[in-house]
Amino acid sequence: MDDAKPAWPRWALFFAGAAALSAIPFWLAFARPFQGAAMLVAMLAWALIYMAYVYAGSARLKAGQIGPVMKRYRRRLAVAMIAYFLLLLGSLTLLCSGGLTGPLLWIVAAAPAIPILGVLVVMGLYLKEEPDEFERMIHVESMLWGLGAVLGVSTVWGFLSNAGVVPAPPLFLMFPLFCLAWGFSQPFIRRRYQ
Amino acid sequence: MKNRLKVLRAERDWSQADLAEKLQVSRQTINALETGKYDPSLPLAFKIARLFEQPIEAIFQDEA
Repeated sequence: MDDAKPAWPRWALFFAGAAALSAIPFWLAFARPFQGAAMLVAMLAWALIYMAYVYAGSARLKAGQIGPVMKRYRRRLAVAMIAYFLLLLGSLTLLCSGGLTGPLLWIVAAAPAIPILGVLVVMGLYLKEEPDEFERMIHVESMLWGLGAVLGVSTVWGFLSNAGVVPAPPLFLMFPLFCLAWGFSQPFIRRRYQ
Repeated sequence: MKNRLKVLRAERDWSQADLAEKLQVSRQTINALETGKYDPSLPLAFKIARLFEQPIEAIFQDEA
C-alpha cells in the first residue's frame, strides 16, 4: 500500500562511492604523485568525474522526486561549480607561472573562492525557496552535521598542527568536508523519521 | 504526536504519493507525518485540515 521501499541501501552505496572519490584529492595533495601542470590536469579530471558522478547518480536515485526548487538548486550549483573550476584552473595557471605581485596576486589567488561563496548563496536560496518544510528541516539538520564535522576536524587538526604533529590544515578542503558530511548525514537523518 | 492521517487517507483510497501531491510536499514528508515522528507546522496542519475538511484537533491528538 505504502510504496515505501527503503532506498537507503542504494544511497549508502552511492555515498560510499562519493567518499571513495573524495579521498582522491587528499591523496593527490599529500602524496603528490604529479607535479605542476600534470597535477592541475589530474585535479580537473577528478573534479569533472566527481561532479558527473554526483549529478547523474543523485538524479537517478531521486528519479521522479526532484521538485522544481531542487531542480533550480541543482542548476545553480552546476553553474557555480563550472565557474569554480574555470577560475581555479585560470588562477592556478597564473600563480604557477609566477610574476604576480601586489593587489593582482591577491585577486588571482582569491578568485576561485568567489564561486564557492556563490555556492553558499545558492544553498541559502534553496532553503528559502523549498516549499516542503520537512525537506527543509532535513537539509538544515544535515547542514548542522556538516558544520559539526568542519568544526570538529579543524579543531582537532589545529591542535595537532600547533604541536607540530601534522602539517597545517588545508583550509580550502573544509568546504568539501562540509558538503561531504552534509550529504553523508542525510540518509541517517531521514531514516529517523521513517 | 498521534494523528489519523493514515486512516483518513485510506478512507479516501489515496496513496501516500496522492496525498503528497495534494499537499505539495514529498512522499517522505507524508510518511514522517503518518508515523508521528514529524509534527507539521501550523500552516501545514491547517492545509491538511482543509484538505480533509476536519478541524485540526480531529486529525492530530496531543498526547500531553
